[in-house]
Amino acid sequence: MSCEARQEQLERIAFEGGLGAISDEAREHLAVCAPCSSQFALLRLLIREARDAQPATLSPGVRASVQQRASRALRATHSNPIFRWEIAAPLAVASLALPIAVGQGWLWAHGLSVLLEPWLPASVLTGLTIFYAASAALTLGGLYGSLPFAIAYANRVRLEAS
Amino acid sequence: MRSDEDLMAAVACGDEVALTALIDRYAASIHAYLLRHSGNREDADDLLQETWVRVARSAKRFDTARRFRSWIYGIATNLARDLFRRRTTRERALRDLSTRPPAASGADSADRRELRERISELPENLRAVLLLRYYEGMSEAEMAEVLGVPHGTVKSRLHAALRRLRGEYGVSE
Repeated sequence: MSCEARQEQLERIAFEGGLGAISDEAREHLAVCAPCSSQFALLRLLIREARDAQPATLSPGVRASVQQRASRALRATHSNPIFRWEIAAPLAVASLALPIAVGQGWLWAHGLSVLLEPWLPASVLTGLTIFYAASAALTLGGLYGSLPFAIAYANRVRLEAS
Repeated sequence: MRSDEDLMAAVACGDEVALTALIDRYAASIHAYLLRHSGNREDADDLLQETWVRVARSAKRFDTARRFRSWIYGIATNLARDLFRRRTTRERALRDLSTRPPAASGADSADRRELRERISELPENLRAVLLLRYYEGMSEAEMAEVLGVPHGTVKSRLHAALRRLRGEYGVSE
C-alpha cells in the first residue's frame, strides 16, 4: 500500500474513531515512515482537540436576537404587500416620465425632420427617429420593469424593520 | 420528534413555532462552527443572525428531499466565505487575538494551541472541510452537499488541509 493510500486510510479510521485499533502491519509501517507517522500524530491531536472542544452554547442575548430577526423575516415573506403612499407617490411621479418622454421625442423628431429635411435624406431621418424611439423604449422598459422588484424589496425591508 | 425537514416544511407555511424548534436545535452548533471559522465572536454573532434570516426567507424554496443540516451549514459556510473575501488582509491582521476560536477545556497543551492557530491560518476552503469533518463530524458525502462541490474535491481538500497542517506544523507525539 502506498503512503498516500495509507494516509487516506488513517484519516478514515480516525474519523470513525478507531485509531486505537489499527493493524499491526500499519503500526510497523508507522514506526519506519516519517510522513505517515506525522499524519497519525496529527490525526490523534485533531481528534482529541475536537472531542474536548467546549460544548456549543449561545448567549441568551444572541439567541433572542436570532429569534427576533428570523421571525420578522418569516413574517415578511408571508405578508401581502400593503398599499402605502410612500411607495405609491414616487411611483406616480415616476410614471409621469412616460408621457414626458413620448412628447419630447415627438417634438425632437418632428423639429429635427423639419430643420434637416433639405440637407439629409429621408432614410437618415427615419433611422434617427427609430434609434431615438428604440433607446427611449429600452430606458423606459428598464425603469418600469424594475419597479415591481423595487417595491417588493421596499416592502420586505419595511416589514422586517417594523 | 419531528424531523428537521418536516419542521422546515412547516416553516415554509409561516409556522414560527417550527422555526423556533429549528433554532433551538441548530443555533448553538452553527454559532460554534462560525466562531471557529471566523475566529471572531462578533462576526460569528452577525453571521449566525444572517444565516437564520436566510433560512426564513428561503424556507419556501427549501427542497424537503434535501437534508436540512447540510443546507443550513451550506448557508453558514457561504456567508462566512463572503465575509472572509470582503475582509482585507490588514483587517484580519488587526483582529483581536483574544477572540480566537474557543479554547479546549481541561489541559490545553502548547501543541493544541498551536494546532488551533494553524487551523485558523489555513485558506478558507481548506479550513471549512477540516472543521466540518472533525468538529461537526460530517461524512465526505455530507461535506460535498454542504460545500456544493463534487465528492472528489472534498477528498482532495481534506488531503491538502491535512498535508498543510502536517507540513507547517511539526506534530510530535
